Amino acid sequence: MAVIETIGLTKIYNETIVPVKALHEVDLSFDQGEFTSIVGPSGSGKTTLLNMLGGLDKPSSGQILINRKDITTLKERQLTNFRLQHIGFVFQSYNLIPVLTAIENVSFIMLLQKHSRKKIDQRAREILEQVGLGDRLNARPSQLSGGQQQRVAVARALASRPDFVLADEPTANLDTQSAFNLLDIMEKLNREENITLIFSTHDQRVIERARRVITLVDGAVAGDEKRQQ
Amino acid sequence: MKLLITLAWRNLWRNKRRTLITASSVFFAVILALIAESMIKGSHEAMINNMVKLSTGYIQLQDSLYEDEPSVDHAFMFDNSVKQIMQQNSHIAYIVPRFESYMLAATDQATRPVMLRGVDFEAENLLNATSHKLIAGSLLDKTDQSVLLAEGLAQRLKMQVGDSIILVGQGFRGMSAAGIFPVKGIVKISLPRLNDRLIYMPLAATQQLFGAEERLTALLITPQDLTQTDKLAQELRAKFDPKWFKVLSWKQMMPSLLQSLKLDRASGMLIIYMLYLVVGFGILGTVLTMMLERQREFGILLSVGMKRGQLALITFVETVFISLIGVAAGLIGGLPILVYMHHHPIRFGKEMEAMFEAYGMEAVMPFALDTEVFSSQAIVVLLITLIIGLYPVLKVFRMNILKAARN
Repeated sequence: MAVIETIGLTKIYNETIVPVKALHEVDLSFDQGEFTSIVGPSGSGKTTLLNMLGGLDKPSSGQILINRKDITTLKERQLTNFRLQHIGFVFQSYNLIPVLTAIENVSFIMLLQKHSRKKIDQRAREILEQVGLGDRLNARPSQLSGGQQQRVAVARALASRPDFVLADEPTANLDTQSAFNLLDIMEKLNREENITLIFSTHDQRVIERARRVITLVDGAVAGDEKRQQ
Repeated sequence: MKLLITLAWRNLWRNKRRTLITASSVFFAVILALIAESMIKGSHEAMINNMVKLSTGYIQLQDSLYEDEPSVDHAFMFDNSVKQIMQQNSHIAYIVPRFESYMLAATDQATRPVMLRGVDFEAENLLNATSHKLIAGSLLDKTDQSVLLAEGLAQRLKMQVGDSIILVGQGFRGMSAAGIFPVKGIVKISLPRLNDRLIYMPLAATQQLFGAEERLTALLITPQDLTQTDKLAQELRAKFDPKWFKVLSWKQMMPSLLQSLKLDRASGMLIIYMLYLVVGFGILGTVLTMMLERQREFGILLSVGMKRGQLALITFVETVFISLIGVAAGLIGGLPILVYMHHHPIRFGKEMEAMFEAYGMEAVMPFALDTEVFSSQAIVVLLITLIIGLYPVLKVFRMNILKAARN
């Protein structure tokens, strides 16, 4: 069953001045548990597509159905709540909260979701163990390496068991070993927790590991390859 | 909520130096404002106390016609009904009966208009320590038929202790009031206009001179709590029939003093407002920098599902925290300074004495030490902070998430 579906998704920037078509009539569908890379050259619309799927930007036209609910019709407050409850985000620059420890960063989304303290603590420890940071629970981001920070970011995104996770170039700032470690972890969590993962990336290492690769060129879908692994 | 408060607190210490510098600006401004406020309040209190104690008292009970026509004909009976009302009121510290009238004083060489003040010296002492003002001769007993002259008047009349003075005036209801009285002592009154014309006489002798036994021109009432003067006056007003009596507070009897205090306070407040301005800009500068530095972080927090209200609260609480640290440190730091200054007021040199004497004051700069001085500074600085704290709140509510996250 499709978790996410886009129908005729179009985004035009500067519509009234110099229109720039970032996405053009994109029709895509993502099933539960997919591990997808969105690839394409710079300016092809990868980030725009991710922003649309994450409810961070509104399309100029078209629909985005998440669990059959059109999120383009939601008001800002509803969208905020929707993001909180259903979507996990991993950013290129980790973007952890610098004043919180690893376990606090991971607990953060769940605290906003108002889960019980006990449950939050248990889940945060569990997922940090899974990403190999069980011994760095109380380390602040500044005390962690880039790879470790990105693993905390992944743990934060996955901790609340969202419907899907959007990762914008998550390995771009990592060395090869850290990138492979991160991909191993994400693949494992994808398999174990059946969470849908969608990456935008230039990174060949990520593309090779993806089970589906969608290629965007000039805002349109130029390829959609599904692989058996 | 706990999470948001924790975040706000920890955010403060991300840039320790900046937080400490901002809190320090609040700290110093609070201390300076405390000192300025304490000086203004202290000097005003001293001025009020000196003027009030030597002239009108804090509250006066008079005959209803006396204020408009201050004649001895409008002296009222100080009988048991009045005494009972005074005794029954627990907010009254003490009462001071007076019989006052203008008269003509004459010696064999000169004649001058004077103010004769018939007093109960025990009560008068409580109000203005009359006995401490004696510079020559001795004080009067209740039964004495003699007078004390103010120093300035004695000089003008060229009189000394042991001389006699003739007093002539109009007595109660058409009687004549005249007599010759020995000068038993000389007192120095710090208010120049009184020092040049005041004569003290025992109350009983004064009443007898005017033929107004048991009558008073004014009953001065001192409240237990001086800050509650207006409230007590109001209370007493309700107890007396306005047809026969009037209860006046010193503010009603000396409106010019009140006006000059207000004017003086306004100029003093100008300095304090400038300090508030410094505090305000100090905090605003920090808040602006903080907002600019953390655009991206705010964008990310909003992206992952934090509500704008929650983020706004964090930024607001951070601003309040900085201010609270500065205010608390300022109050704690200011307390010992004010305590010291309260007990060791600044003393001015001889050249300033004349100026202070015009207001009936000692040539010192007293410092007030009451909770209002502290609470008013804390409240004002917190209010400024709350207003400045609205800036990040507005910014967060208007923030474009994508633009902020890309910053």
